[in-house]
Parts: sequence; C-alpha cells; structure tokens
Amino acid sequence: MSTPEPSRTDANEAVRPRESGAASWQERIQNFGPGAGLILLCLIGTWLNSDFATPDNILNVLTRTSFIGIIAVGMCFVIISGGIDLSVGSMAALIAGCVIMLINWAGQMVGSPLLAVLIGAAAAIVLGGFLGMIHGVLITRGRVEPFIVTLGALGIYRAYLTYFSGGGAITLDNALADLYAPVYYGYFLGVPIPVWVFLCVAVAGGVILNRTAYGRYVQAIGSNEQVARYAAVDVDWVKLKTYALLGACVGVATLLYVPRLGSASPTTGLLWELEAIAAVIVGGTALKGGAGSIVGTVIGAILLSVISNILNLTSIISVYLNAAVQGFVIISVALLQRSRRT
Amino acid sequence: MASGRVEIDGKAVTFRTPREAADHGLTYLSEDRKGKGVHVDFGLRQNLTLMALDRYVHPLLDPSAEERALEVAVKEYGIRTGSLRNKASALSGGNQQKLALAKVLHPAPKVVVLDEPTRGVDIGAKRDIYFLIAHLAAQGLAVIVISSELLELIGLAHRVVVMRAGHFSAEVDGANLTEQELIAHATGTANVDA
Repeated sequence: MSTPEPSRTDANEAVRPRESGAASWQERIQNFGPGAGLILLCLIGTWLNSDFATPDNILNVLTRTSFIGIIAVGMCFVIISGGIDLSVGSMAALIAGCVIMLINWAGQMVGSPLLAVLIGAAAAIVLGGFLGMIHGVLITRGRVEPFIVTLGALGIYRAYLTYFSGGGAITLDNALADLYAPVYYGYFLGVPIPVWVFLCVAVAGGVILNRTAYGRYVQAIGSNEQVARYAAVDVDWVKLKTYALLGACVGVATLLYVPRLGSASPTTGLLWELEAIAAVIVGGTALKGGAGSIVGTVIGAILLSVISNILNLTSIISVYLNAAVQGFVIISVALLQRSRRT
Repeated sequence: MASGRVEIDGKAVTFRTPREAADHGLTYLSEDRKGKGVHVDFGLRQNLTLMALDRYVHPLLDPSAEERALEVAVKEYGIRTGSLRNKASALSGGNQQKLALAKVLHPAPKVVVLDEPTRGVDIGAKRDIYFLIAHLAAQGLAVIVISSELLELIGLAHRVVVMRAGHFSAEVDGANLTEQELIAHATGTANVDA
C-alpha cells in the first residue's frame, strides 16, 4: 500500500507539548519505587539487628515469601485484567485439607507412598485450577462482580475445611509427612526448594504477561474492556483463564506449604489474600487494572515479608501488629498511586 | 430490530461477537474512539498489533517485529507522533483516529466497517482519511462507511444505502447521488416530492 498524502496543514499539532518526557519520568519512579523501598527496608533491618543480613535469615525470609509470592504472581494477572480474588487464603486452606486427606487415603490404597504424595501434589494444582475456573465462569458467564463471587467463596472454602477437620486439624500420616518434608525443607544448590519454585513461577509469569498474546490481552482488558472487546479480544475466555491461573498458583503454593506443618486447620492461610493483594499493589500494579509488573509483584511480596521479619527480630512494633502494618502499607501505596495520577 | 443476511465472498456468515466477525474477515471501527476504538493508556505499538497478534507469536511475541510494523504504519497512515514509544493519549484526535484505522486494517480484513471515521477529527487528518479510504477501495477492499455527513458520503461512496428510523429506506448511486436525493430519502419525503 502506498502513502495517502499526509497533509501539511495541521501545523498546530507540531507545536503540541509532548507528554512523553514527564510520563517516562513518572514511570521511572513507579518502576524503581518498590525496589528502592525494599533496599531502604533492608538497610533499616541491618541497622536494627545484626542478624538480619545473615544468609540464613535471608533464605528464611525468601522461603516464607514464596507461598505468598507464588499466589501474588497469579493475583497480578487477575488484578491487571481489572478483577480481584479475595478467596485465595481460604482456597489454600481447603486445598491443603483436601490434599492431606487424599494423600493419607492414597497412602493406604496405593502401595507406594511416593506415588501417594505425587498424586496429592498434582491434585493440589488441579483442584486450585478448577476452583479458579468456577470463579471465572461465575464472573464471566454469570455476570457477577468478582468481589462478590470471591467473597462468597472465601466463606464457603474455609467453612468446608472447618467442617472436614471437625474444627481441629487434618494431619498428614507420619511416614508420608517424612517423605513429603523435603519439598519444604530441602535445598538445591544451597537454596531452599520453595524459593526455586517461586523463582520459576515468577519467570514463567513474567514471560506469559509480557511476551505472549494472552498476556497482552490481559493488559488490554484491564486497560479498557470495551476497547478490547471491539478489538476482537475474547474477553470472557481471557478473564476466565486469569482466575484459573491464579487458582493453579494457589495450588502450587499449597503443595509447598503442606509439608511445612503437615497439617491443615481453620487458621491455615489466614489473611493470605491481604498479603497477596498487598504484594501486587505495593509492586506498582494499579488496582484499577491495565498495567502492572511481575518483577514489581515479586519485590512487593519480598518487601512485605521483610517488614514482618523486622517486626520479628526487633521489638519496636509488636509482631501481633504485622497484618496492621501490611494494611497500612497497602492503603498508603494506593493513596500514593492516586495522587501521582492527578 | 436486528435481522438480515451477511455474505462475505458470496458465502452466508453469522457472528455474534467482534471476535467471530474478525475470524470471518470483517473488522469494525467504532465511532466512539476513546470508549471503543483505541487503548489510550497503551503504546502505539500495542494498539496497532492488538487485532493481529497471532502474526507476531512464534511462539513468543516479537516486540521488534511489532516495532517494524509500527514504523511502516506510521508512514503509511501519516500518523504524527513525537516518538514511537508514546502512549496513544499523547496523540491528537485525528492521529488517534489514524491509529485506530491502522489497527482495524492490520489483520488484513476482507470487509471493513468504518463508523463515522472523521468525527472529531481536524481538517487535515480528515483529508488523509478520505485519501486512505479511496485508496483502500481502489485496492479492492470492501469498505462500508457509516456517516451522517452527506458531502462526505457523496465524495466517498459508489453506492449509498439510506437508513431511516432503523429501516432500509433507499439505495442511491451514480448520478442520483446528490444532497437533495439523500435528504429526501432520509426524511421520508422522496415520494411526496416526486
């Protein structure tokens, strides 16, 4: 196709002030903000307690981050697409309970305990993906607000876990627990297994978000759903997949978490939804959707767990106030995002 | 009231969503540019390639191929932008419209429906868009322009179908393509005058 003669008449456009300079300056702050915050926190932590910067403590923090971090990567997709999932903590608890019951059952039915554990681990991911898919179907086909669907699910999942456990704990049989333990307690090249899994999930998440058509569609829907629909994006299907993906992430996090205590109780995964959403928001992803980053989310997750670690190591603020600090952080960051935009 | 038949290349087709329409080779540019046309918070590149992403997937997206496509499109469609990395919101209305046009044409459709393609567009960009439409039609692309500006239609169209109150009113072409004729059919006074 050759050029349709461009007109020479719109000279006024040539002198339009360019917004690009200011925008990129703001974006740069947005990009480096979470990282700078994390570095600052680490310096404060080192200054407050000499145990903070030891390799043991750092690996400990990263291991504890990995559950929330893996969920936060999935949550990042949901939030960028303009949705939310409040049920992830309860979902993790329910999956943990179901997986433990399944492994115990399979341990007796199937000859090999190893196979029993493998079945349980696979079931965690499948069950998570399946529950997430149900959220997606209700949200896209049922046209119910994500907030309502997942708020309802939050109650349902935890209630069922409490029912299955009779209000107490569902515990993994000892022999099976010993076999499963290395998944949480094991090391590979000096780094704990959960941290490796976290790294893999984060890298995969980053590639999917930034380098696949699906990731582009997720951003397009969050940026403006109507424009995306008119641009022939299959909005419902893409959205449904974000919830299924998050569910699968919850499944992966749970299968790493189960061997830690070898049991699930009504307090398992409590407030994980707060931590996961906070990690995404602190990482610079706008709650209204459209744009966000996996790197930011990972930094956000680490930042939150460094805060909790510092509270543990020092006595400035009681560790009981951990969730309160996270709450304050998420609200402050949301306020900052808002003032930056106006 | 929605009835009728759509045929592309002589084959009857049905579609319920923009996705299905695009699969059949029909794309649509909405009159509501900011609400349905372009992602103002997206870069130019992401806007341009959104409807034809499968072309850039092998198996991962290739941003540099997208950038090359953007360079070509900026030249072809005369999109005036300071930097190729700008967001669409940094463009003037007319240039956003050219970007939107480039976007719906990027998947190489067989039929393109342009709804009020020059609404809210400065005079220079309007001219560019007229040249472009004429050029596309000359190449053999089926272009359907929806417009309420009579002179625009008379200048662009080979055939004009006049709709009145949601119904087919008349089909006008050739020498009959005049303002009086179109207004008469649009207001329902054609038979009275005759």
